[in-house]
Amino acid sequence: MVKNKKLKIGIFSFTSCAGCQFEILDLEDELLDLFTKANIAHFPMAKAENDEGDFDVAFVEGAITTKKEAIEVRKIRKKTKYVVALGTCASYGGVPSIKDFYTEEEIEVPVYKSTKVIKSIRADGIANYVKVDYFMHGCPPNKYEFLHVMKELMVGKTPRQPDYPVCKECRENKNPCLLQQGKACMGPITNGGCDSVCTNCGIPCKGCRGPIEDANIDRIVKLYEKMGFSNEDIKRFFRGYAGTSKIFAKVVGQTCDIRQRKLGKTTKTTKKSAKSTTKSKKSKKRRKK
Amino acid sequence: MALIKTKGNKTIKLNHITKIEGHAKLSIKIEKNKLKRVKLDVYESARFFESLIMCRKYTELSPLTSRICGTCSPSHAITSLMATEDAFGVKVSKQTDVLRDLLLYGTTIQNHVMHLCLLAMPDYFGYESAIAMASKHKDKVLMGLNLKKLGNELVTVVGGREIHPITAVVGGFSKIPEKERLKDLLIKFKKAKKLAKASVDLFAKLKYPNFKRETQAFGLTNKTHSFHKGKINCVGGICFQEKDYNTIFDEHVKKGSTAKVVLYKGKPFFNGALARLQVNGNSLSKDASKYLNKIDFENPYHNNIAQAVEVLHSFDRIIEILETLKPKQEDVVDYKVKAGRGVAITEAPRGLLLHDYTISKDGFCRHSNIITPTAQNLKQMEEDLKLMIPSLLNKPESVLKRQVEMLIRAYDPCFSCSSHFLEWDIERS
Repeated sequence: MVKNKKLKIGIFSFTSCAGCQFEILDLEDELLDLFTKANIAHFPMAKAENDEGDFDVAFVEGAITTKKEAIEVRKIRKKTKYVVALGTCASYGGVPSIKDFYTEEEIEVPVYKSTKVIKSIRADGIANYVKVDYFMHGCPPNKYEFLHVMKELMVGKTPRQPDYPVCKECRENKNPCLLQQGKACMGPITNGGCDSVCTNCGIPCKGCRGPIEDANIDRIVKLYEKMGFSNEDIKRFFRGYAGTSKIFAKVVGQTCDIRQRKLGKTTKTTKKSAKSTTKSKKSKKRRKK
Repeated sequence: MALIKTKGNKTIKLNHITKIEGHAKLSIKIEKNKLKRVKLDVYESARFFESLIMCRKYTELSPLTSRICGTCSPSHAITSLMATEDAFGVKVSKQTDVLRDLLLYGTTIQNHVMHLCLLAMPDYFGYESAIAMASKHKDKVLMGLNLKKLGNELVTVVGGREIHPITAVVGGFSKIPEKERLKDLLIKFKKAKKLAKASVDLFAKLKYPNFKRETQAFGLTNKTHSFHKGKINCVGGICFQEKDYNTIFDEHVKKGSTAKVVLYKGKPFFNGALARLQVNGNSLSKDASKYLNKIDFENPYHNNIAQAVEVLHSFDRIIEILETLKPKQEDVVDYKVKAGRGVAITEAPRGLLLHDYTISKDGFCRHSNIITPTAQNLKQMEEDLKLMIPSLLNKPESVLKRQVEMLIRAYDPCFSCSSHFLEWDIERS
């Protein structure tokens, strides 16, 4: 990877709750050391003077939800050697991407009374627009993973992503299996690395770290069905954090069925059309069914 | 800062206000040395949270709305639970109440200290960031980091992790914190109390710009300065029921503005630490209340002192709670899912936070409204700037810029919180 004595780092933020940046600032014990050993040149949330110039590493937080952001993220890619998607929004679109399964009208009218006031496009992870070198999953990501990635990059190594499901850590932590208790846990198909923080508290995994590559989706859907969850329930589970992920595509469907039924509409609704002048052909292709 | 000058006129643009949570920009227009226009634009992209949680099950509302804001996520999570419980008519146990109190005191420390020591303090010592400041004032930066760490630890022990808490659920907690860890926290909080005191001393002594304005303050009133219980009140006193909030506050989008703003009887008002101390000051702990006389409630910059005082109060309350709390294993209370509307108002670190849900009989959210503190403070910030800038017009640009940024920062605005904010440039016919 990049071999530099002092890496020049930029931390950028798009549509998000800023939680991933806070996760960095929550490294109280290591923060000062980190900032002296690396040149954190761009970090508008914590610094008044921000360098716009080339970077060795960029950590990008948040989903892309406007055309402007799409342009911006491409600019960042151009001037950066190694791009890290920081958190689930940047990796998959995260919670904001729930809106992708609704029509523009359904999403915008309840809040703003009209669809004309918003210049919003689909919410997607940054990988739909630029090449990403490392996906740091999680809502929020694990701050120690951030530290680990930083250390690896600083010594010139290419960091490796955890490649095991949440179940591994959950077993190590000796938690009782929530699936066996009839709870819809997404642990078996979700990227590990979080130290199974939710299941440690008895709360089923919601899949915030996105699907592992070889996730056996059919099997888990069958299991949920057997446990008595309806189709709509299952769709909702998958539409929470990483609904835009390719691996989930066959489960998540396109629109919000519950509301359609309530409104008594039987006409099929189209997925919010992607206003994609700024989008790459590749991502367009992916979006087409 | 971009400065565009034409014959006696100038426009000052702060294109990205730094060291705040989220994205905002400010443009000031000056014509013939007279202030023509001040516009605070929020360019945080709209996230439609109210729509996102529609037709979601009631159990998902708290984790999802927690994602509105990374910094005060416990506040959103708890407010959401309380609104849901209000709709179902759930009454939680005393222990749950106390643990929620702890969680909110913890997040108050997280937020206030982050704002005070990492974002605001460097301004007053002439540095661009806390990191730059650490070279000469390492003790002060470390003090902040150590205080913040304790807030994080408390939220982690009670809530499961420091951001987006896990354990708080409708009717109680999925996991009761372990006795040992609470004991350990008590020792740490007792030991670090002198740091909290030192930080109030520090912020009370700083030199703040001399700027005064009169306006209305809103906050919760209760006996322990708790962040999730009490009546909504203001100076002069108008208590109202939570469900009636829309008769007191009106949320609207002004033509040409980029954000939804909240007004009280058509006028701007403010909330947050300074407002809370003004409305509910006599509920502070003994040590914290000693500093009340250092605060000028008409000076918005004093929100910094108010936050430091609240950190000290939170320390006192946390120590008091931890000393008496004997955590016992208990299940969440029994409740029945039923149709209804639930409203909850709490004090998030930055001010009043409201969640209003209408839930159908099968437990799905059918309508919701969320009002965040920054939406309420936004108009007041703009008004303050209008009042303050004319007195600074003859000063050098750098002084003007600094003082303006410091004022915005003093409110500790959180634009990512404001699920409502949007860029508004197409007029409605």
